[in-house]
Amino acid sequence: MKRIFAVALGLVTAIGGFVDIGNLVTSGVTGARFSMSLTWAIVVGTIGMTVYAEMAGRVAAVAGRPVFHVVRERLGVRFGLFNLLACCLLNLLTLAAEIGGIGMALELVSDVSYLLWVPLIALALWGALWRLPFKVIENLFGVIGLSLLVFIVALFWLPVDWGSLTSSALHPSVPPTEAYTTYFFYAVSLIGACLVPYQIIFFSSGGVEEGWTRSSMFQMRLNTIVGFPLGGVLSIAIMATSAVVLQPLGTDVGHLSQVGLPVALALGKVGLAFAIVGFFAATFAAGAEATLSTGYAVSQYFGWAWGKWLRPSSAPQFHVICLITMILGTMLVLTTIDPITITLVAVVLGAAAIPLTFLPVLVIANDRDYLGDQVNGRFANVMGVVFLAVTVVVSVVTLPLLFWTRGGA
Amino acid sequence: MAEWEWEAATVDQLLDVQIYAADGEPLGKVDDLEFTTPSDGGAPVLTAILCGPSAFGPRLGGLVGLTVWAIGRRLSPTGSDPVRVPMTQVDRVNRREIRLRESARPLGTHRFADWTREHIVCQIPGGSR
Repeated sequence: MKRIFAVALGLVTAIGGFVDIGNLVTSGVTGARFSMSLTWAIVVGTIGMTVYAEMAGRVAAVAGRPVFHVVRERLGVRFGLFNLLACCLLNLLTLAAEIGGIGMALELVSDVSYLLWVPLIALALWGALWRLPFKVIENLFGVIGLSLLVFIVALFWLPVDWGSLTSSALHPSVPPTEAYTTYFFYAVSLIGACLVPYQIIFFSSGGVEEGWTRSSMFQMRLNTIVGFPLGGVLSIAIMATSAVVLQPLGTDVGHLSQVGLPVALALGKVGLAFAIVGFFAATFAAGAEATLSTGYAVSQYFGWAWGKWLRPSSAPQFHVICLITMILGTMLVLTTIDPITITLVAVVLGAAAIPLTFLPVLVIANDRDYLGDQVNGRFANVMGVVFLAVTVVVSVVTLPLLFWTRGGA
Repeated sequence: MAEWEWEAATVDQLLDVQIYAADGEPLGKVDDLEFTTPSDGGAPVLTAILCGPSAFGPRLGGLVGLTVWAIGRRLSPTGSDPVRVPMTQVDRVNRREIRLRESARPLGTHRFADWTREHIVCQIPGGSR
């Protein structure tokens, strides 16, 4: 019984952990502008996340090697450092976006500008990292984050024309009012929202933290193969509510409140309360994870002691890196850059950076010295190579699209 | 001398390998290697593992490497000499890790961790737990 509970809890946190500010914003924005015609991008991103996380999780469980260990060992000191800097920069952008997201959730409740909440949020986040055990951070907010399921309830409550919704999803086409470049920019943003580097670093390092072994493979596979796709379904549901309510009104999403509007229309105040709690929990957990990921990545690259299971005095450099990350991320939000803009930039650049960390993981996943009999099978390798090709294409087109469309304007 | 659990085909396979203390505490990576040519003129022999910014910087090369090296030189009590772990202090070497002997502790491998612990982490409430 206890084991079933543990497995279920892991699954729930995998669903909750999948959705963060990136998914909330990109699904809301694209639903309002493109209806369901970009559903395929969420599907591509989610499949990619599943393939990548399963491989990274296997390397963590069998060889005990988290991602940035592998990056330096396989890519060497220079390219590894480039990788590390890219990853830290992305984590910083992501953290700033998540802090902005928490702030917007609190602004919805309190009517006090999100900027005033930012210092308090940063203090709370860092306090949680400093004092709370790893399990509590991961499980508590993962479970509360599930209140985002209210979007699925709302979708069934709304007067939905299911026929046109599914045909828009199954026959993607660029709306006549939008340019092709904008369409593909948002496709990249949706892929990037599902495939976030910090989540992979967190997933594999967290596995090592929890002491995964070969016997944890079932739980790990369940989380990646069932949990992440369910998270993808939730992203699609958010997109659908936005497509049903906001698109006919011609509303552009510029704040989390607009993402929650369809739920408020369908289910009233109670529904909106669930949505706001979900926003808060999902972004708070993601903010903590993005910060920890930076500490993990830097410590693993330099070979220092790392991990939440160690007391701060046993992993001093790791905790100092987390602290510096938190300070820089907070400063970035306090520049008053629009959090929605930071989110979009963070997810598209994140999509572009995926091949950097995926390539070494793919190489190690084929190394018998590390994985023994658990090396990639033919299926995993075919999926891995196809996925690598897709992400390389995405990286090549990302920057031109970002500048050409001026960030999707 | 160190016990070798595998045959490295080339020396660069030893670079960037994780180093652990005798008690399993992670200390860092192999940033560089020191070879010595014996006085009789034979083949060079691996005599030490080098760690720290003054070994890491030159491997990066260019302006970035020079900067790292210069910062390391100013902050380190030993100047531009990297932390040097003689092979006699190495317990085991395999493809995935290098483990040091208990007696390697005074060599300076713990210096950065000790400094951050004492000057930053222990100053924050709850940090000295």
